[in-house]
Amino acid sequence: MSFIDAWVWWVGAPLLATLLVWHLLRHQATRQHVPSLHLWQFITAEQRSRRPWMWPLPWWLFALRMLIGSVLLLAASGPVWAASSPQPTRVIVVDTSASMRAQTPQGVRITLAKQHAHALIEGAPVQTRFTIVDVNARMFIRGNQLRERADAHRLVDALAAVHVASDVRALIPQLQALDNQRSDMFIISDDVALWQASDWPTGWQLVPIGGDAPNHFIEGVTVQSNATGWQGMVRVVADGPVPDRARLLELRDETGRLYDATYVNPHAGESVTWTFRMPVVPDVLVASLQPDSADALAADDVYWWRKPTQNALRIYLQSPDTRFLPAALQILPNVVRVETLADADIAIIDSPATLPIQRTIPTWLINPPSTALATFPVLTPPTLIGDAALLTQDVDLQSTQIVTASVLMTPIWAQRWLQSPLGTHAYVGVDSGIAHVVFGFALTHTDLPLRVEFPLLVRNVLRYLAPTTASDSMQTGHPYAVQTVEDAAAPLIVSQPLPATARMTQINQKWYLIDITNSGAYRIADRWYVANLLAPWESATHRTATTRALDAGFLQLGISLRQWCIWLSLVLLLCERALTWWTRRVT
Amino acid sequence: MSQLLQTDEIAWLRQQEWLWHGASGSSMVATHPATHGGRGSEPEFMRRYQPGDDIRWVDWAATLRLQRAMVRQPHPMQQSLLRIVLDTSASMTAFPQKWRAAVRLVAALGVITMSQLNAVQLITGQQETRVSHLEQWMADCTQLYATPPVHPFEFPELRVQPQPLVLCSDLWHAEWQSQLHRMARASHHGIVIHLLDAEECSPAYTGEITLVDSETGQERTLTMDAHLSARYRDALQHHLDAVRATCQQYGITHHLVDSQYSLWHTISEVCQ
Repeated sequence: MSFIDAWVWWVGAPLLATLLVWHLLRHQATRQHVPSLHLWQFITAEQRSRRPWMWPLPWWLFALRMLIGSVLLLAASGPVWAASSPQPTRVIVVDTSASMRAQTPQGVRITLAKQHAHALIEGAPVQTRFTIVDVNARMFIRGNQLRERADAHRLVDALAAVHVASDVRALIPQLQALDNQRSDMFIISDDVALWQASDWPTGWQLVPIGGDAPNHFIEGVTVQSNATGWQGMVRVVADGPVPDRARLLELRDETGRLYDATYVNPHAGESVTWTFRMPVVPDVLVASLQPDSADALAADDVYWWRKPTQNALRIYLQSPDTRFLPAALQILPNVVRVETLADADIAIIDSPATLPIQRTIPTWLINPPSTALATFPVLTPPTLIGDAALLTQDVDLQSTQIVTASVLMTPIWAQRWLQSPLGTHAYVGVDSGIAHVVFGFALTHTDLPLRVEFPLLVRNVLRYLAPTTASDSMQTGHPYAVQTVEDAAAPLIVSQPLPATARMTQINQKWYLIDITNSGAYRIADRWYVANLLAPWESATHRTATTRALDAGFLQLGISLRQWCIWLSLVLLLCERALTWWTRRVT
Repeated sequence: MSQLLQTDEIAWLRQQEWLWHGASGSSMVATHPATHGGRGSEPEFMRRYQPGDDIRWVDWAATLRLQRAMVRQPHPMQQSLLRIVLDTSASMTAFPQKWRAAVRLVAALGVITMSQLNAVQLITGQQETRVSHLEQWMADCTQLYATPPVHPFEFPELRVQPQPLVLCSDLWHAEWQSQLHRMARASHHGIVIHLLDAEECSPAYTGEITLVDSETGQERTLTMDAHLSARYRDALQHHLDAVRATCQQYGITHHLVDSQYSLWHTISEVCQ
């Protein structure tokens, strides 16, 4: 409910007006002057009119009651704290694509970018809050909340150029979403032409990192086993100016023993794939492009491939717009994330443009294209039977807030998972021996990524789709080892919004969280986070009239506007009771 | 404005003799001269010693005999005085019938007193008027009836005197007991004329009603029914019993008078 909804005005305003008119026109008791109330006070100490509306009511007491009603109505409407953080914020976007690893006469580009970032942090006004954005192919944002100055420095130090370059223009809308918080936006990148060719918003500042350098990069290494041994592919791309001579691509194990080598020389803007075969492969295979001159690539320009362990789960993940799902997958045990079109144990397709024609592997299909949208469906999860019952373990989707969801046609082989009066919004089932899970809504249009139970949902889905590979290590009430990502703050005490706390403990240099709740908001030290602690950064729920906005300023407040209204109404109610008591005592 | 007292009423009143609580009007003057310890042949009367009395008045023989300090106070032979305190609070003046009955009663007592060649002192809170002429007395009472005082009524601090003291009030003050106490200290012959309206004795309200205190302005909204009326009558009876008991304790004569009573009836009851 919101005041933007017309029915609130159609119902609430006449209600308040009716109360006001009733108060003004209400039937008054007959007034009778008597010499003294001396005796009446004794015999009517507890006996008053049996009709409370006939009691004398001062106008200010009625006004106070109307105020309480108005505040409660305001609280029920789910007000949104529109103001952002009062503190200045500065967003520093650092291009960490592979080209930033290049060695230039001034130094390594990423090192130069870090120096610029440190200068921007130090040059910011006092009490500025920072968000460090690590831009690469998936716009992986490492600064998972607005940070203080010291944290921002540490985040910048943690940046590493390990990602593959891609078209950053697709990321600009997301950066614009960040800029909606009226932050100072700085972009540090070596590709000035690319950024400036984009729709460049006014107010953004581009900090160029110069220096020409050869730009051959390894995009990825994939090794698969087959009947004849191991077959692998190494993909090398060219970004920007390239040298005339071909580059030597080597495959070595972690001890430095050479397994295979070849020359590659893709043209600018193109890529080349080298396929190799080996009867055996080591546990770790290191692909490296050898430098062709003294100022060429650094020696650490390598790509590590690890041999998957037994029962490992390979996932084909297509998630062009989801930040949470890769992070949730990343922390799950026994998961090897494979993002190529090689065969995989599970395919996770998030928000596809078109539906795949054939699904020959277990598939988790999220938000298929549809035009039949249901706004704010009230979910009623039916009871799942069989193996599908695993999906709801430790996860309560009934309280999930979903902004919009598609109405799905449920196949005959499927069970309905989430329903609303409008139809089915999720179903699961096994078709020709292959399990499928289909969500009719985008994860980013829900509060699921805000919840601690979000990784549990992912775990359940993986266990359902690939029962032999998933692990049971994540269970409610059991210690869960949190793999701290490289830029994560050392966890201290994790407090729920309520006074209860969940303590993270360190055992054998691993952090354990022994509390899993439905709530997503946690506090670490004196700052508010939007948990999923397992997600790499906070989620930004969609700022619509019917959703609760959880922007940074709102979270810094530490308490929602609705709670403020409820507390205020309680205080006013206490005042009203005290004044009513006093009024009765006087009269 | 009609006359406060009609001519025939005044004529009837002048024929009345008011016997003060077992003594005649002339008892205000000693009926025989003192024979012992007095000062010559002055008429005297004996009473208990009170602070402020002249030490020469102490009757030592009586003190020794009665084991309490007694004095013989000489009393002037001339005109005696009747003091009347009239409650002028809003509970009296805001109700025309009650206020008229009260002033008529006071006027009638004055007429009786002056017909016996005595004077009347009318005390209305902060004002005191001493009158010995009938025409002046009636004029003062008529003026008082027409323009009652607006200031809050408080029982005055009076000097101790042997003359009778009459209080005409509805005794609706929360401090009515202290009023009676002050009255008892000011005179040995206290008379309370407790004036109430019929509606005060038996309220005829029904349904939802907001009662407004005429003095304080306080309000109280009630659902009046037979049960609540019965409770009120019980409380009133309890209150009247308490007033009577207090008057008896202080030696004050108590007369409960309905404002609707005729003057003949009221004077007959008071003067009995």
